[in-house]
Amino acid sequence: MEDQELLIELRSSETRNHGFEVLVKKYQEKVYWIIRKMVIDHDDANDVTQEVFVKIWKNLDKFRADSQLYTWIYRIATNECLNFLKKKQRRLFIPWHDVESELVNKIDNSPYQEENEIERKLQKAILTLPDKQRLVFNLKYYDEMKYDQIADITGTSVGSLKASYHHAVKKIEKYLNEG
Amino acid sequence: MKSDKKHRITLGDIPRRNFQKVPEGYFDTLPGLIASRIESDNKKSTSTPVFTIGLNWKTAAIAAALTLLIVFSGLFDSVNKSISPEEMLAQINVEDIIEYLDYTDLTTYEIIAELDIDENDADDFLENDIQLLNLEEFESLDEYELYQEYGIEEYIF
Repeated sequence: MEDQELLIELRSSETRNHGFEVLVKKYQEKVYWIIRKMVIDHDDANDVTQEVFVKIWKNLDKFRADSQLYTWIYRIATNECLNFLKKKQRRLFIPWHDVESELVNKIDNSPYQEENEIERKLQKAILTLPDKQRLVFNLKYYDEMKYDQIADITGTSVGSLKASYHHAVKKIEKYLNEG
Repeated sequence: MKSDKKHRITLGDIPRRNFQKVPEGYFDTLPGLIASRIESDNKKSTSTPVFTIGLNWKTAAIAAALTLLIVFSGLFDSVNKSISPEEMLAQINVEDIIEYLDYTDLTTYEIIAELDIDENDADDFLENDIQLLNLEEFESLDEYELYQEYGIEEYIF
C-alpha cells in the first residue's frame, strides 16, 4: 500500500486500526535496523522500536502532510534512538567512552551476529563517532539514503551532512588502519 | 620493483552488508508486541494517572522547569513571584519529576515557553542547555573548538 492510501486509512477512525497494522508491517524492519545499528543490542533495539510505534500511534493526529510519512516515522525513530543513548549515559552517570565500551562489548558478545573480523572492526570504528554523526553515517552508508532525504529527517542542511559523512569516513578508515 | 607499502584498508574493501541478526521469526511477532504495548499503555493512561495529585502537563512542565532552574541556573529570583513554587513542588515527589522528565517529549524551549520569565534569562538558560548538549558530541577539546569556530549546525550534523 502506498503511503498516500495509508494516510487516508489512518485518518478515518473506522480504518485506523487496519491502517496502523499495515504501517507497522511496512516500516518495522527499516525502523528496527536504524535503531539496532545505533544501540547495537537486540533487546534495547526491540524496546526502542516498540516505543517508536507507540509514539507514532499516539501522535497520528498530529501528523501533518507537510512532510512525507516515511520522513516523519524516521524522524521519530532517530529521535528516540538518540534520546535512548543520551538517557542511558545520564542515568548511569557515566562518560561517553564508557557507553562506547559497553556497546563494543555488546558487539563482541552478541549472539545475534555473524562472525567476521573486518566487519566487527568496522562496527567498532563506527562506534567511535559521536551519536549524531554515527546516525548520519548509518543512514548514508547502510541505508543508502540520499542526502536530501537525510536532511528532511534530521532537519539539517545537505552541506552539513556531506561534511559530516566525509569526516566520518576519514575517521573510520583511520581506525581500520590502526593496530 | 615490489612495493613494500602496506595496503591501506578503505570502506570499499569491506562488503556493505548488515552483519547483525535478529532472533528467528522476530518480525512476525513484533506487530503483536507493539499492539500489546499500546493496549497496556492505554490501560495505564485511563486507570493510572501519571501524576497522582492531578497535575496537568503544563503544570508539571512548569514544576519540572522550576526544579531545573533552582538547581542549575540560579534564575529563581527572576521567576514571577505570583507562582508559588515551594507550594507546588512540595506536592510533587522528586521521583515523579524525574520520571516525568524521562518520559516527556518536552524540549527546553517548550518548557521555557510555559514560564513567565524575562526573555534574557530564558536565553541564558537555553544557552547553558545548548552548551551542555554540544559538549557531549565531541571526542576532544580540539574538535569542540573547531566546532565552535565554524558554527553550531555545520560541523557534526
